[in-house]
Amino acid sequence: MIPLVMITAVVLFLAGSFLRFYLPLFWNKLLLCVCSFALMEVILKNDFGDFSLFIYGAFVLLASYSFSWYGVCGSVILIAAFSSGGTDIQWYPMPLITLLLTGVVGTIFHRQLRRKLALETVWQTQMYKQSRHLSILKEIGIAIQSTMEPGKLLHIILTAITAGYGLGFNRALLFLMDESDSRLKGELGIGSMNEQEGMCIWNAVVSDRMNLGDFIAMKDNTHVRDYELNDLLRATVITLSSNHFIQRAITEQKPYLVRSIDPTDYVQIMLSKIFHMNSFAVVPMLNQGKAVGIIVVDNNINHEPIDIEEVDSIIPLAAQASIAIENSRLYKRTQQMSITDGLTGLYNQRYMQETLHNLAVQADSKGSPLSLIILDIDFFKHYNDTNGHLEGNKVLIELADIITGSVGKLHVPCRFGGEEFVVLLPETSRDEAQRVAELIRSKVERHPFHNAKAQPDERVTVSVGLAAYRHGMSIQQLQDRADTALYEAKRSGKNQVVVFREGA
Amino acid sequence: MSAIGTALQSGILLLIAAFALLSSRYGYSLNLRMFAKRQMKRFGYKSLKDLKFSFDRMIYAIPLPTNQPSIKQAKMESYRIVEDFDSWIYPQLNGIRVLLTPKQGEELLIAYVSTEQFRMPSLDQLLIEGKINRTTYRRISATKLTMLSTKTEIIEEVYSQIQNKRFS
Repeated sequence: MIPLVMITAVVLFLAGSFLRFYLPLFWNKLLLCVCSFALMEVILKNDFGDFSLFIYGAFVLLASYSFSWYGVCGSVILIAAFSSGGTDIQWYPMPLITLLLTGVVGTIFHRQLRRKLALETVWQTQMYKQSRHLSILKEIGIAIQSTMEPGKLLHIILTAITAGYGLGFNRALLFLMDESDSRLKGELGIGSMNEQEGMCIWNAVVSDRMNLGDFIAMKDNTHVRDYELNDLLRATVITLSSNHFIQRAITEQKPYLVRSIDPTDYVQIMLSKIFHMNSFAVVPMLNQGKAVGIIVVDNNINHEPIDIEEVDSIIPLAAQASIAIENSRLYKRTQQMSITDGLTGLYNQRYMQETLHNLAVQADSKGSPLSLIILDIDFFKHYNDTNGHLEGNKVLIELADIITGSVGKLHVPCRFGGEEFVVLLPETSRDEAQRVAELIRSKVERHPFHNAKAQPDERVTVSVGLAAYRHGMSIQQLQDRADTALYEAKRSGKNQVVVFREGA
Repeated sequence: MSAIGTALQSGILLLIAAFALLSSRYGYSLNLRMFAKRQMKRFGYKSLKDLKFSFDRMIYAIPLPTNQPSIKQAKMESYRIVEDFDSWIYPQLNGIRVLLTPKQGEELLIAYVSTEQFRMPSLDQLLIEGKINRTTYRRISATKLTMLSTKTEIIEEVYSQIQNKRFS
């Protein structure tokens, strides 16, 4: 028969061994040591001779492993003072020294293990963090390559900063420098204005099993548009001056962490008021040392404190974003140049041909009217010969301004070549087009061009030909008709508008 | 009672104690489960399975996309999950490792999910509302991570990412 006291001790030990996991680590350790001591006392009620020392040693080992030096001292004192077993041990000197040495071994083991674990944890955490950042950068690098559209680029960058698969900030706001380099204008924001909205999105993301790629792809999805945030952001302008933290971040070219709002910094107060920010970070977007914009991040939903290391990880993304934005702007400028006449700023002939083709297709499908005006400066060669080509160029520029100021928003003014200009007039009937043509002609006639008196008619004038598109007609036919009308205007005395009429 | 009987009894007690200490991880896991179940019931969830979780903080130890034949051609059955504890006697679940045993070569670490980074929107909500603290969050996360259904989903996710032609 196993004595009741032993059964009780085992039950208590097992219960303690299980219940200890409910407790914090310190109490967990203490409970296990107490249970072990009780069990040991029950076992050692019987005389085991020298074997008792082995069991005491095991307890000291456990105590020292659990509490280091405190465990050694505590367990040895406990054994010496309270051990009431049947063992008759002369504690001094050898058994005590043996137990103390066991404790030393336990403590060294405990310390080594703890140090190793701590090192491993730090190393692993760093490695995992770096690995994650590398993945994000790789993913973003691929995504950025896929577009030249500035809006899409900004969306990709902010997604990488805010998505859980990315850096995981609750909210990111992007401000871009305006052309004067003196103001930052709110451009795009991702994140929620309140916890409820934020949690709703977070739930949806997890339910849909969305990853970073999905987020990047879903730019137009309604629940990531963040209307309220973007409305507020687009109305926000930060003027750069020397007395606020954003200026400092840009000048020093490094991130700036705001842990609490500085009441002397008006930009911090403004951001706090508009976006309810308490603590946030700003990262300058730099390209070759020049500030392109800034990114502001905060954790307004989970209120996690912002770690400078996490903020640092935005820097490569901000750098990529800056390059991508500059490239995109450059691309847009090049694209614009390829369809624009360098002298007058009007669209060039290539763009005119493409647009005319599209407008004709549109007119055919919708049955809407389309007209074309072609105009030519009268006696322009004479003007050039008299005043020189530089003055001639000025006339072309001023004429382009007159045309632009005379046509509607839908109309497309182009420089056809030399002193010839074309205006495409979609959704415009022949009569309406004639009014526009007449307006241009009369404005030119009245405009005080330089040395206009030297012209044969003592003024600079234009002749205008006009033709209307008819269903099934080719665009070449339309241009020929307008050209014929222009020829007729020239032939019959210049400075007039002639409308092409069939059979006329 | 004879000396042999006493020694036997004491030996059995010592064995039980040693067994209890060495099986701490199982005790810890069981304890976690009971704790998490009770918490879930408290907040109106029928089961831990109701909790949706995110893969967003899973870390891959291999480059993705990968074209390594030993990884790309591996079947889903070749993946296994190993729980990462920090101690035998006082265990805490640090995370789980997704390992792959290829047909040839040594076992590879493919991915890692840290308990600290294992996120569930429902728990985030409770945390924001102050209904649970970070320790409770961590304990429930650890329980969810050790569930068979979670492990299966994680392996499926890893497998699909590896088979996917583009990363994420």
